[in-house]
Amino acid sequence: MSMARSSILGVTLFLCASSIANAGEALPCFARGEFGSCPGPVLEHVAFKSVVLQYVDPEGTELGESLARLLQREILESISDLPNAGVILAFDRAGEIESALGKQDINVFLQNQYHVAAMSIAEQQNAQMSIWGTVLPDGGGLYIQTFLTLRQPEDDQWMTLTLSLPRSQEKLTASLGRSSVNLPAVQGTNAELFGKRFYTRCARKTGCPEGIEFHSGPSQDTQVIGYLPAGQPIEAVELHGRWFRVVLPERFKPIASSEGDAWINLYYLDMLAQDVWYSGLKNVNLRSRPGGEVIGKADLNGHFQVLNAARHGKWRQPWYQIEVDGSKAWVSGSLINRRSYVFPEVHLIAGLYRYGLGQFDRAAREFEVFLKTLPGDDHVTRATTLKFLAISRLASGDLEGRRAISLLSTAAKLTPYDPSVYTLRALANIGNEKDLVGTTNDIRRALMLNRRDQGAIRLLEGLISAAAGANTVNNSYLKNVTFSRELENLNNEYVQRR
Amino acid sequence: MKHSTKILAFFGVALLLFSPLAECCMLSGKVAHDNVPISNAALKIYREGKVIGNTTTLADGSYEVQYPEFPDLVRVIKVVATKPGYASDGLLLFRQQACAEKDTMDIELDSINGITGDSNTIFISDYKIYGQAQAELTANFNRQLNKIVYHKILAYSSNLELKSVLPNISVQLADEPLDLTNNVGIRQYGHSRKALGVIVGDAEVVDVEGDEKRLSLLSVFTTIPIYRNLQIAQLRIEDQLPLSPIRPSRIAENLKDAWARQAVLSYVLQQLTDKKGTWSRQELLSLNELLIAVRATMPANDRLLEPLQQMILVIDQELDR
Repeated sequence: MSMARSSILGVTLFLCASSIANAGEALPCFARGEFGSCPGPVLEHVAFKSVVLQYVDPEGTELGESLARLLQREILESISDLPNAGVILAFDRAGEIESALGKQDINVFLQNQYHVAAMSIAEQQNAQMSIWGTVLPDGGGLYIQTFLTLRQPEDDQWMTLTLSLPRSQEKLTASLGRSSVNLPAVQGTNAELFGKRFYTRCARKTGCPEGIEFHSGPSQDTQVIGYLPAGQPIEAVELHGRWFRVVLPERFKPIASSEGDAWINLYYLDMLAQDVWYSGLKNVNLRSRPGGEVIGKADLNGHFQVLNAARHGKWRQPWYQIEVDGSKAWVSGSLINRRSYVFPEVHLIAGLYRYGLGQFDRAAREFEVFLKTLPGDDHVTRATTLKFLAISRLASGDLEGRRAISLLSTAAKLTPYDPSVYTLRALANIGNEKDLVGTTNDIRRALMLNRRDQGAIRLLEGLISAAAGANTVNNSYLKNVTFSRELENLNNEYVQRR
Repeated sequence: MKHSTKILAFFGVALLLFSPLAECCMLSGKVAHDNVPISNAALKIYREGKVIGNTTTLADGSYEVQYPEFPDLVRVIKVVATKPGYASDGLLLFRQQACAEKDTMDIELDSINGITGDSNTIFISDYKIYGQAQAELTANFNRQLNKIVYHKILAYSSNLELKSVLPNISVQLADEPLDLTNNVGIRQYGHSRKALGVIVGDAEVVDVEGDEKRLSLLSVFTTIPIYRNLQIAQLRIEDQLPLSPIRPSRIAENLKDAWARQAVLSYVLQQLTDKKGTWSRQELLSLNELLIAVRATMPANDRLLEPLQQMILVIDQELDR
């Protein structure tokens, strides 16, 4: 028996399209009269995509677009090694969101029109995830609320776990049972959230022969006060619109006088990590520079503050300079277990990408990291993430079944009235432990909580059919009189009674 | 059905004493529905899609707002007044000059669904903050709190697994002061506005260890609808927050989903009360689905579990009839 995430595209999808690198696109999707309609599909050959919508900004913080751009960049960074993954930014430069908002109450707008627009854009782009949110002033600080809605295209039932019974046409399925995830709000002052170290980057196709330009104000129309080469660390102070106010390094040679402030468009900044974590790595090569000679070896575990960062090699992979035993050394970014983001939910989103594209172990790692960033009492999102983690373990197969069931049991303790957690555990029980009693108990719990629960009913009907047709050595354990009778009882009690 | 929006504008005296050196233009007027002043309506001025000025109407529906002078020849602004329960389109103002000293514009709002009250609304009374809190901080706190609480409810309700449409619950500031100790007054206020709930709170600046000062808060959420013997007890939450800065999000964060759950249950009670036994099977199934979705997010010891189970039982009995 094998557990897998359901996909009709399946293996073909992963092999055929693996040469396409991850990609980002930006589209204006809020044209007048066609709110939530983009110029056309992009990244059509990319198998797994998300759309990030410009944040609604009802109080005029002017950060709506830049937050979405930052999030898009951080997601792209988190999946930079993952082929076949893309992030589409849906932005509004013409003030159409404000204009549409102006006609009605913000509450109605957010709940109906913007959520509908988010799903509509995801539908148009055939994306599996839609990410949208709002930014509000909060006592001198900012309150950033992000929403994640998951979409399951008909040809890619990626949120459904399938158990294939050997020598049987019967497939048992259980869905995650949650298509919306309430992400923890990000809160803090502008300086707390965005006063970080970034790195200049040249992202123009034509290159940046003069270097990366710095302006005297937060606008392209202001004076260029000088340039720095790409790859230079820059300390940001605050974010204003799409511009960071920065502290210029001493080596900066101004070509024009300014009032002291220097500004750079976020497009020209690279989002490398401020902090990195390693998990029990032995004999790691410490190098003199990115990709340079080995100057020593060390065991790395736990948190390290990044002293400097750079990109190196054909794939522009990140390298981090950290302090190890009192000496500075460069370590490949591919070895980190966890890194810091402005938006902690990037770990969850990255996990979903990896799960959706079949990298179950890496997905599990991202979910585990996200769980560490979650506030302790955010029990619903914690339970949802535990379910994602459990199905990643189940889909990776082999010895992870018991651990997955344990994770689902923890999720059931956090949200004991959620039927879907019992349906998932029932499927995990039958698939990994061949636990007939545990399976029927969990289906009963799910149906007691909601006698119309489609997931539990589908699994029950599948099991009745599988038990009736069980006739081989491998599935003969399903041919159990007590088990069959229990299933029929459940069927009579909940399904037939409807 | 949403009525077609009707906005009557009265361009008042403009011109007079125009000064080309003025940095700000001024617009004032009143917002009303059927000649009844609308307080706490949000008023925004847009130029080329960007907000360039905003304010909130006073108790008599009046407003006064400044905005930057026109930088070019395109001298058009759009003025939009909004309030939950009311429909509004933008109203354009064309100017011949870069800026007049004072324009006036009165705005008439239409109601949505003919509801002149605030259906599915939770009212938050201004928190009274005693002690050494700065007036400006207190004002900001009260102005921002309803929006943050709304987003907590939105975030919570968007997390519910529903096939049917999410309930549309809005949160707005109460238009008169309410006393935390006057339960009867709070209920009367809520009933008169057909509210889902009323949140009243007060706070005091207190000394804690050393020189540190904190804000000690008491928040009370009163559910207004009652259906037969089904009602939800007042939710009283005491809290201590850092004083500087006072952030409304801290209250909403510390309350987690408690207010949001209570808001959704209040919505179900309101629906049951409104229909008074005339509901369709589909309406009952939708309410049932909503309650099951809320329960799916509850921890084992949730205080709202018992009333929620009672509501499910009532709806199940109606469905089985």
